[in-house]
Amino acid sequence: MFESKYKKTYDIITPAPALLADTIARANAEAADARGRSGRRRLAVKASIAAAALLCLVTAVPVCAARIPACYRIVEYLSPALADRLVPIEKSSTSQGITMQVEAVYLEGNKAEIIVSLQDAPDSTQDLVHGEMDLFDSYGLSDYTNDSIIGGCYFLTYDAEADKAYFKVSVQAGQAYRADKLQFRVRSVLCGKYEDTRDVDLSGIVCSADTKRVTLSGSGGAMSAEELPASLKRLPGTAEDPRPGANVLDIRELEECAADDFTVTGAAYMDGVLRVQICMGDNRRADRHVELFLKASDGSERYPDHSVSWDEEEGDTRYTFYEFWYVEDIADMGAYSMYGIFHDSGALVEGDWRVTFRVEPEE
Amino acid sequence: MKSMHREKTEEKNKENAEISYEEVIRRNSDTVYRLAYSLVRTRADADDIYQEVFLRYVRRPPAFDNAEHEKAWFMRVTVNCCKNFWKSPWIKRRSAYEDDTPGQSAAGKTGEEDALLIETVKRLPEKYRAVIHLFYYEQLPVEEIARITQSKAATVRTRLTRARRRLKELFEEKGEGFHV
Repeated sequence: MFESKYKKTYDIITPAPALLADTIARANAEAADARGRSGRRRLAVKASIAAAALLCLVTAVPVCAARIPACYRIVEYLSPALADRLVPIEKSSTSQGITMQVEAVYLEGNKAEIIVSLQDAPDSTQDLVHGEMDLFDSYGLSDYTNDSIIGGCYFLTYDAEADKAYFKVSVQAGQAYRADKLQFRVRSVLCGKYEDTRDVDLSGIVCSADTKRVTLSGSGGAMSAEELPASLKRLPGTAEDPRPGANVLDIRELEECAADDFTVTGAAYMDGVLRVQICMGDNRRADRHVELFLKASDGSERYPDHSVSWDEEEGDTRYTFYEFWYVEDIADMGAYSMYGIFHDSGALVEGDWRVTFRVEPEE
Repeated sequence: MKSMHREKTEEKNKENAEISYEEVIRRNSDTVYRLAYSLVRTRADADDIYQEVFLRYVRRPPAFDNAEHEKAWFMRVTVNCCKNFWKSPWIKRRSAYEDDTPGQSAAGKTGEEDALLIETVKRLPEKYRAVIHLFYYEQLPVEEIARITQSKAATVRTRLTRARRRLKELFEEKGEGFHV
C-alpha cells in the first residue's frame, strides 16, 4: 500500500516547465562556451588579483550552491573558519529604496562578525546598488543595554546576478552581547563607489615652498613618525588643542579647491623629500581617497613612505587634505613620474535600516 | 581557410550536440527532479540540485552504454550533489522552518494525503530517504541502490529496514495506517 501511494504521490512531482527550459538553455550555453574555449588558443593568465578570484567565486560556482548566498562562498574562501561558524539570519529592512539584509552572524562574547547585503528594494525604480558600496561608518550592533564601540566594514563583493552588494562588518562592544535580542543598524550608505587612475603632473614641481603648521587628523605609512627627518617631525599640540601638528606645503588658497572633487594642491621636492599635497574636497558626505604611486624609469613603483591628513574650513565647507611624503632614495626627480588611483564615492543615501534578530544556540 | 563543406559539417555537429543535450535532459528530467526533491527539504533546493546535475553532465558528458547506464549515472550524480549540498555548514544551520508548505510542495499541487506522506517521509534522515525513493519509486534492486548510493548492499538493506520501521512509527503517530 505504501509503495503504490508513494509512487502515485511522486508521479505528480515534476520540474516546473520554466526550470526545464532554463536548464536546457544553460546547458546549451555552457556547451557553446566550452566549444569556444577549446577552439581558442589558451593563454596563460596569471591570476594575481584577489578580486578576480572572488568574482570567479560569485560567477562560476556550481548552480547547486545557488541557495547559498554569494557572500557565504566568499567568506568560505577568505576564512573557512569564520564560514564554519556563521549562523544564517536572513532578515531584512528596507529604507530609501534599499533593502539591507543581515545574512549571517558569528557572535562570540563582545565581538561579532556580521555578513550584510544591500540591494535595491523590489518596488524601487532607482538603481542605487550596482557595484562597490560603503556603509560609511554608520553601522552598529546592540542588544538591550550594550552597543558596539568599535567596528570595521569590509566590502566583499557585488553579485551582479542577484544585484546584491555584500559586506563583512566586524564590531566589538564593551561587554558580552546577549544573543536573544540583537539589533543591527545602518544609517547611511555610499552608493556607486568608483576609482579612476589619473596621472599626477610633476612638471611644475618646486624646489622651495612655504610651509604652514596644521593640526593633524590622521597619519600613516610604512615609515613611522619617529623615523621621519627633522623637517617632517611632529609638532607638539597646544594647550587648546593637544593634537600633534606638522608643517605642510602652503601653496594654494582654499578657494582653488573643489568641494566635490580632488585637487592636487602642491608638489615640492625639498631637502631630499618629495611632498605631494591633494585636497579631497568635503568628505563629510563622501569618501574620497587616493593611492599614489611614484614610478621610476625602470618601471618600479613606490608607495609614499608616510602621509598626514588634516581639515581646513571655509564657510560651510570642510576640506580634507592629505600630504604624501617620499623620504628615501629620491636622487633625480626627473627620472620619476607619478600616477594615482583616485577613489570617489557616488551618492550618499541616508536612511534607517534596522534588523532585530536572535542567534539561536547551536544544537 | 575552411572549406564550405567543413563549416557546414561543424555547424551540423554543433546542432546535433545541442539537440542531444536537450534530449538527454528531457529524458532524465523527472527522475532527477523527483530524486532531488525526495532528498532535500524544499522545492527551491530541488531546483538547484536539478540544474547542477545537468550542468555536470554537460561539462563532462560520459559515454553511456545504454539507457539503464544513463539513468543510473544521473541518479548517482543526483545523490552525490545532494550529499554535497547537505555538507555545507550554511545548509546545516539553516533552520527547518523553510520546509515547503504541505500541498504546495512541488511543481504539481498535491492533495492533503499526498502532502502528509511527503512530509512524513521527509522526517527521515537523508540516507534513509534515498533508499526509500530508489526502492519504492524507482523500484531498483538493492544491489543497484548500493551502486548508486556508493554503499554496500548490506548497508542498503539495513537502511531500508530501519527506514520502514521509522516510517511505520511516524505514520502511527499521525494516525495513518499505511502498510510499509
